[in-house]
Amino acid sequence: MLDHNVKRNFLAMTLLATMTLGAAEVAAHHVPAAKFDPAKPMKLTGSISKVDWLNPHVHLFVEVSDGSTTTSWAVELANTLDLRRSGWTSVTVKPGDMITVTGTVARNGSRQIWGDNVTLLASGQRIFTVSPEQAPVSDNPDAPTPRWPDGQPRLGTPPGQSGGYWAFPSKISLMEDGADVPVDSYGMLQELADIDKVAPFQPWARDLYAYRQRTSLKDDPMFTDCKTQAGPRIFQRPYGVVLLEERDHKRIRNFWGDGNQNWRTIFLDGREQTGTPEGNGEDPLYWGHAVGQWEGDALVIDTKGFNDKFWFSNGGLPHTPQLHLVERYTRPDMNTLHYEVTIDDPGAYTRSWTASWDLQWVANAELPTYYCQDNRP
Amino acid sequence: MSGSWVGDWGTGTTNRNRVVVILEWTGSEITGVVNPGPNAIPIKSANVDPTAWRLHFEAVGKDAKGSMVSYTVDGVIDDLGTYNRTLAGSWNVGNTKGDFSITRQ
Repeated sequence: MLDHNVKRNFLAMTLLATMTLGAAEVAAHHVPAAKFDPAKPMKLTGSISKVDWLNPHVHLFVEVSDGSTTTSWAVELANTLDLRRSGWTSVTVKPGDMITVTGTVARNGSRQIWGDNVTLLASGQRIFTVSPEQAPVSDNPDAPTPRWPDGQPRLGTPPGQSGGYWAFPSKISLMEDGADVPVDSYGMLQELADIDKVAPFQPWARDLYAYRQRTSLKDDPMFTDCKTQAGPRIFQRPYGVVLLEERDHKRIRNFWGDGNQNWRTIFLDGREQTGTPEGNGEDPLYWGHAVGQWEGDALVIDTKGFNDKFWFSNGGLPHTPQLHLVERYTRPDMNTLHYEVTIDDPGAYTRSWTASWDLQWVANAELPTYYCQDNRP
Repeated sequence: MSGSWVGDWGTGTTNRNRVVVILEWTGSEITGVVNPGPNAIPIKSANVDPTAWRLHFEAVGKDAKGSMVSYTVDGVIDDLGTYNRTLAGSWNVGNTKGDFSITRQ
């Protein structure tokens, strides 16, 4: 009996560890290794002096005493959204609580630690674990494509539902269709040797991509400076996408639940493609100038006029202001958005190439509000 | 200053080449590499004048023919208030001179 219980507990602990390890990957706004050195593990015990419940990451400030001196440490945790989804709040702990933290130390030598494991000393409870969000199970999995009265597919919320958005992309890193290269949830290649399978790089772009991968994506401006994501990266972030069809105005507003409440406009009124790297009055540069048209059941969007001040993929694929995207959105059924993008950027790639994946409809829900604000080094 | 800088260099408006420069400020010195790949050119020495944000660095690497050559680069950092600050200036290898402009990405 005892042996059985030990085995059962071991299995439960293993499952929990697996879930929380995966969750830590999903939850972070940046690769932990970009800021914290995996080769420098640390354990500390101290008293909480402040709970900093802000985006993009929660911090606990902890006073650590060795009997003669006291030092202040910042413990970095996941973001407010993922912690809240997992049942934790800003009052889970309070100043004065004693905690033990194991994690890895900041690369820059500052007194910061990534909180892999936080335990409340008084109760022994492990806190601030993050469970990965599960894709919702549709109560109508065989529902057909919702359509407008004229037969055109609806890309947004169908009648009878109170909102919704697209999330849970089937691929979270941009790579050429057919590459099938293993990556983690941040777009980090499991094997750097796979690099040439990802995309047809120009030499400089390959070098830069390899550098970004080797350095754990530490220069991602979304992490360092709360810069926006744009291009196909919008459709591979973990917090979802809204396509708000404004048919009266012949345009679609494209919002995403990540970043700084950014959106882009897709014009469907037949206007010409006028996007240029220098920008113009209707060209926001980061998101390019997007014009679309329906081809059967597919919305085809042509976008030009990007700058090169952002990363357009989770794994750090380079691009230049020559970037030209052709996206195709199709909704083969109620619950699936098939996203396809052709990347044409002769500055960074030797030929155009295509990537595609599916997103899942999250019905009767609002886009999560996770914003990269109050960024801290 | 630390980060990856991307832009172009050349000897004129039509003869341009893409360049990637990695710069790291260690707290006491600037290190880095030009074009971090199989033909990387390590920066041998670098210094910055913070009063005018002028950067000078020297690097030794192979030229297109495989001969070892010394690069001398001088530039000014601009747009300091933004993440995507720029570095632009001149370079020379022996008697060959040109200009460059790179942006931190």
